[in-house]
Amino acid sequence: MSLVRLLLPILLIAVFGGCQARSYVKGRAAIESLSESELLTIGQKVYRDGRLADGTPVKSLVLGGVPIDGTQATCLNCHRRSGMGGAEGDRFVLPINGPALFSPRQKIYHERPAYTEASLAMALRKGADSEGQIFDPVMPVYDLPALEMAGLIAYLKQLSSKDSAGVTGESIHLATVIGPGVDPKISTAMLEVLERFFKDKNSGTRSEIRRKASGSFFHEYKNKAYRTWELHRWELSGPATTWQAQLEEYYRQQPVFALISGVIDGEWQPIHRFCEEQQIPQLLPNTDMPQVDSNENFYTLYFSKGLVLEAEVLLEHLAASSSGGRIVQLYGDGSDGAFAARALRHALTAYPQFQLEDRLLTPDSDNSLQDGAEKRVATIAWLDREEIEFLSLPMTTDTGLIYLSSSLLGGDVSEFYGKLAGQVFLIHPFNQPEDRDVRFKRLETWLELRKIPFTQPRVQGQTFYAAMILGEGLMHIKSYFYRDYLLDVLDHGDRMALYANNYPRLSFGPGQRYLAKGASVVDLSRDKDASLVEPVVWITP
Amino acid sequence: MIVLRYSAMILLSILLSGCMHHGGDHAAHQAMLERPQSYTRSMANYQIPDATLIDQDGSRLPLPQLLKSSEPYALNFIFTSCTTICPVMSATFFQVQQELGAGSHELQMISISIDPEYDTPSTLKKYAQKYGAGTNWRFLTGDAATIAEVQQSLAGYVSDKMNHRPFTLIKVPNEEKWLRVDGLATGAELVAEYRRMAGQ
Repeated sequence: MSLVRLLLPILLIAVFGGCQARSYVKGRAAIESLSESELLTIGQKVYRDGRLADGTPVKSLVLGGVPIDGTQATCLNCHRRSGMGGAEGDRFVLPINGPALFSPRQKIYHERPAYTEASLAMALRKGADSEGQIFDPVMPVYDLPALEMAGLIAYLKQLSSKDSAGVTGESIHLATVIGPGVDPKISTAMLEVLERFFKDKNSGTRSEIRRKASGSFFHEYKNKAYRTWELHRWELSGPATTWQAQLEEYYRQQPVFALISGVIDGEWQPIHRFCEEQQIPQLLPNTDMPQVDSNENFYTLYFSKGLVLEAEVLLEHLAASSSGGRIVQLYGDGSDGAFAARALRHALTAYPQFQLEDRLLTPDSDNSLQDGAEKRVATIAWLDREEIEFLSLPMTTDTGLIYLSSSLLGGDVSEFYGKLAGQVFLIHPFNQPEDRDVRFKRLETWLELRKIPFTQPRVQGQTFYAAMILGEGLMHIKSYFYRDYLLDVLDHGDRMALYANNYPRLSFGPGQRYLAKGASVVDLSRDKDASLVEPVVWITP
Repeated sequence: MIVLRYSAMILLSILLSGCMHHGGDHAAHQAMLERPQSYTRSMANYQIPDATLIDQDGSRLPLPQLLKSSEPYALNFIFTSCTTICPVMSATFFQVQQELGAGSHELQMISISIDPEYDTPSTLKKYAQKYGAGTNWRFLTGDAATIAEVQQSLAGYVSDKMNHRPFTLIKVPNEEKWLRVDGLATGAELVAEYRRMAGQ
């Protein structure tokens, strides 16, 4: 009996321990049988989505005990895609990229030795580093099984561990895309601003080149980051279906760190796709036809959703005053009108009370706005300045409310203000005329000093702003030339919203890729002297 | 209470970490015990602006009407694309909900977006679902100027949303002042603060 008493616990320990050891060995064997890329896929899923390999959310606790679903507290949430962290409010989020974790941390914050795989796994599970220093309470602890832990550690090891292509010791290479058939006045206006901005930047007027070689050691972190900016023109030709190959060839000849500004005649989609595939940031292209229906948009930062935004604003405005009915949309044979018409048709799925008819407008077609058919609630004219000349004015009430697009009309739309009879509205994502002068003052002075004529306010304004944003981003990434980090720091770019010239409001935020979120709807029939420049309403769809 | 809380934290850490043992454990637990309270409390008077906000279902709600209700409520400011603080604050509100019992309408909870341009009602609705918000937890947005006015009147205005700081306001009927909880309190702590306010 006493022998049994003595042996039973030993037996139990042996059996239980054996099971554990066997399952551990089995677990290790399963992990070791995975390829590096399989492990990284698992790690990425944990890092970005907060999910285990089988898709279930990782279990985690924050503030020392508040349960938080792993999908709500992903690594990416705070440490961002690059793993370089950042700051929010009074919280500093430390970098967790490979070089940061697997080397000792000194000087800043808490010192600690380099993590090993074991000490990192412990830290993630316990919420404290190997020195016993407790993490900030907003850093959760994670209940990660061995497989996912191995995957996450493999992912962290390679995360932002080497400079992205397009950067040398002296230069940072950047390109701007110019599509075929772009009005030379537009492309020249864009290039003049970009080239001059780059030239100024490279002139080293603040002794950047001298400081890089022999500046004070305590500013080394920023002095060493200095690079001259090299601008490459990527001029495309032929049909859009061939652009992908052309872009790949340009990239093969000279990899670039990012694309800046750019202009094409047509949809931005081929360049968008190229940037996602090659993981190249594209900052603020001059386009009204961005890609908006993609699930994957990390790399392109747009000014707005362009004509898609206008279509959404228009429908929200119309739905506020009409209970439903027939809408006719007119568009010309250019790519932008057709794009807008498609965008409206797509947005209309949320408004089943309206029935939409399309009418292609050509110089030879019957272009009276009335068609003798059933009365409509609205007529939408997706027309540019030339096309609108075809319309037979004046418009009457039979047409219902009439909507015009400010992006398509282009230029100074103030000439339309107060000129049109009937209920005519302008969808206007840009500044009101009375704000325009003030908002463009900085750019006008900059151009004047460089003897560049101020001929294309919109494209010159947007290009200048894009170059400023690039400068802001590159300044903040310092010597950490990781492309994802450039976009991560621009998520914190809200202070740059103040310098917007074309748009009344730009707003930056984590993962936000369309900076202007709304547009005003201007009632064009109101008397100019009766403060008609007040927008009727600002709509953020 | 504090001892209980930390005991619970330690227990949960141990449970989460399984049966692993390491030299750093003791130091980690010691440091956790020594951690100062993660929030400060104060009483404050606020003037509610005559503003109308929009909830996640698109309903327009006059703020004075909402905030002068006879029901107690807790209010915080968040934005849905926030990376660090708001997910924690929202998980905390969810925990408050759980602490009070599923379906409880004892305490109204209000989260006001400080990024109204991005946080449209439909975006807030998705966010509410993501954080398991019940019927007593409402998310509000509005036009940019109105939101700024509300932030200013509740001493929560920041010019750049990325500089926002976490705080929660608790108001109970028959008490003129608000309890302001600056910092990141847990759901259990918020419930305790509310109960203390309400004299329960």
